[in-house]
Amino acid sequence: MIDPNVKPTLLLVDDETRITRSLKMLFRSEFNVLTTDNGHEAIKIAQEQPVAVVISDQRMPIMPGVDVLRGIREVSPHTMRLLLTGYADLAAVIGSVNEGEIFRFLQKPWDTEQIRADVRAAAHVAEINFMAAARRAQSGTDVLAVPAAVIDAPGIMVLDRDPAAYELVKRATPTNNRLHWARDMDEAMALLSAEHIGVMVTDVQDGQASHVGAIKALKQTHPQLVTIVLTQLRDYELLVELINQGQVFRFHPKPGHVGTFVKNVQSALDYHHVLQTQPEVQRRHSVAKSVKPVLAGLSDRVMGYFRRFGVNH
Amino acid sequence: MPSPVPSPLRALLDPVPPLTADMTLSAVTDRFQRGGFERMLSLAIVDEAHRPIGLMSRHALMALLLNKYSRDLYGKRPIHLFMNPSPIVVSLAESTTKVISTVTRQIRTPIIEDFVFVEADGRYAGLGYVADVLKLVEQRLGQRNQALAKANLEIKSSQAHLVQSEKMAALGQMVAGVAHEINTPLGYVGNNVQMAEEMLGQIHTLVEAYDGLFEGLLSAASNPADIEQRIQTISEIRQDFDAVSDLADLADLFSDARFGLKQISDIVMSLKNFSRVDRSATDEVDLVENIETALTVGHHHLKNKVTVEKRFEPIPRVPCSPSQINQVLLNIMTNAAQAIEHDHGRLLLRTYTRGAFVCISIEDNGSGISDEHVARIFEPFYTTKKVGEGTGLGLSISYRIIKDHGGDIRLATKAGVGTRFEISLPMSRPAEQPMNNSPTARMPLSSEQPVTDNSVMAQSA
Repeated sequence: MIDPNVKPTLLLVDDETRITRSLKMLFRSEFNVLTTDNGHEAIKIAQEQPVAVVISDQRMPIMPGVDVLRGIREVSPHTMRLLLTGYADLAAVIGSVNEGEIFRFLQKPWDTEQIRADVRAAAHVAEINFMAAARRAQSGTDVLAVPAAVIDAPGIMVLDRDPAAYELVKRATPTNNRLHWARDMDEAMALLSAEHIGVMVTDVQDGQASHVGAIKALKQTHPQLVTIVLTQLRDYELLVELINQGQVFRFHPKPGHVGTFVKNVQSALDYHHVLQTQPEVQRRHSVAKSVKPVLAGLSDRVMGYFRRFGVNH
Repeated sequence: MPSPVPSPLRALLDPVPPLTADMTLSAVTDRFQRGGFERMLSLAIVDEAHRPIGLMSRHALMALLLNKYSRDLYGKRPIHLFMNPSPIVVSLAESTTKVISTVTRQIRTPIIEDFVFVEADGRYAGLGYVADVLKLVEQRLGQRNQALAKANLEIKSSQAHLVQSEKMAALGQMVAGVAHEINTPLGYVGNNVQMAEEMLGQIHTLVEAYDGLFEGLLSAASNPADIEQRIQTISEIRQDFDAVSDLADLADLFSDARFGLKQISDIVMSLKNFSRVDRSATDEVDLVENIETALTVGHHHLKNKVTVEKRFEPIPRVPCSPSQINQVLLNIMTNAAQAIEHDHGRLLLRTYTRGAFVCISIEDNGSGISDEHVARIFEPFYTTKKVGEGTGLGLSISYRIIKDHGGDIRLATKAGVGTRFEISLPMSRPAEQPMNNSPTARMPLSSEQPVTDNSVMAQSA
């Protein structure tokens, strides 16, 4: 449980100590910063104490970053996970999303203001998650246990002209959930305003038109919409952009393997359920800035001090 | 009667009328004497169904007639008693290639007979002249040679292309690795500079506030409330910013930044050394520098896999093309790192001299190379790596480079123990022509290869 009156914990995992030292200095005024170069130790820390945010390097000798983040997700799902890497490794990007469910994908060298903003945002989300979890634990009712059927079963929308994509999603859609097929952005917008859509499966581009902007915009207007990107595109920069600005939930290669895709759709529906049932704890995190009492009569004391040395005015 | 098959073989066909089986030797002799088929060496004999049953050659007939009285003795006998009953018979329905191969396979020297052409149904069509077939063979060989020469040219150009792609692939991998190497120090250097700048702003504010207090204390016009306000400001700034301890941190920030900049400049310097256009191939080069350069450039592949141990005996400078040698060293080192699948990887690098050669030994404690792979390890395109991980050209190019330098690459390996590569380069440049100028690298003879030479491994292990 996170106490709002103490600094939240930020865990840094990197085998280059100069990186952890530099980031620690950047964040120590707002966070209780812990550092390690060992993935096993990082997971242990997250298991033993509430860690709001973890930033991990990808390429490390003991354990790669994606594995560290996956391990932390398992022991502490409310810890917000960020991957920080200097290497354009496509497999790491996809792994970090699909396995690590990361909040942000950060690249070295980073922009100081950007990383501050990202870590603050992550800490804010973590606080909401931790508090909601604590509230659920207190009231004794596990909201997650409310059967999905009680709430109106959310629809799934395919945004892709490709009939093969539609077929794949159709095979992965549970019988309770309605499946909608939007051939273009206009149809998608119409569906989103008319229907209760929980999960969107989309390609990142449709012929010449790119859906990237739309995916990012939709996450803002429909924060509960969970996005699965189904694409054959293998563009590192684009995927990073989609993670950081579109909060894409899963990347799935095209043509898709049905078995994995069924699991992805189920996880997406579960996640949508969590987004819906989670109490709206919207209190922005503020670092408790203790205001010390005004030093009364200070000037008299100072004047007295100088007078003793014979300084007169 | 079926219509005759059209065939390019008909150009070789001479439809000489055949003999019948019961014609007498005398009649046949008369036919030969009458002439009209001088080009032919023989005449075919057919049965009632017009199928060839044998061949009577001019040569055999003359041999027979050389005996006195043979015409008187045998003249009335039918020719089928004297013919060659198993002549070469080919069908017009067959392919030219097949006919050429049948004829040339069965040919006997000296050539005393022709061969028989039959229609698809087996009926006699005519005779073929062996010399025509040989001419055809020659013509075909000529065409084939041309095609081969063309194919050879194409292979050579695509080989050059592949060597280039291998270079580009290796370069791409290296660039990605180096980018990572540089991005890490860039990350903290940038962050530290940014923090230092922010801290400088805080220091500025604080100094300004102190200045204000100082001025206020000196000024006759200031009143106690004014001074109190100034002190209040300073104490608020001091809440956020502990100048003494933060300034101590600033020193750390700068020292890390300097370290990072040094690291970046080392990497850039290595890249420059690595890829520099060699001024001339006869530069006298310190190979230890090359090893260090290759280590820096390959650091990315090595750092998480191996601890590097160096045992350098002093070696003289050798004439070589340093960038090519760098390429070889990097290739062998990365291979070594890839061969290690456990976490106590070790790479032992040694330099020493042997006779007129300077040697570099690169030894790993990886999985070793099995005998079947060792035999083919320097062959172009031979690879055990997955598609996309290597073209199988790396070692063949390395081999070629070292051979062109008049040196040699040898290896000793043992499964589960490791592999040792030894590169030797001559201390002085061999005579003008390179030792091995053939376009494809010669494979080392088995006697040159101390394969699974335990003594070599033991000595260095």
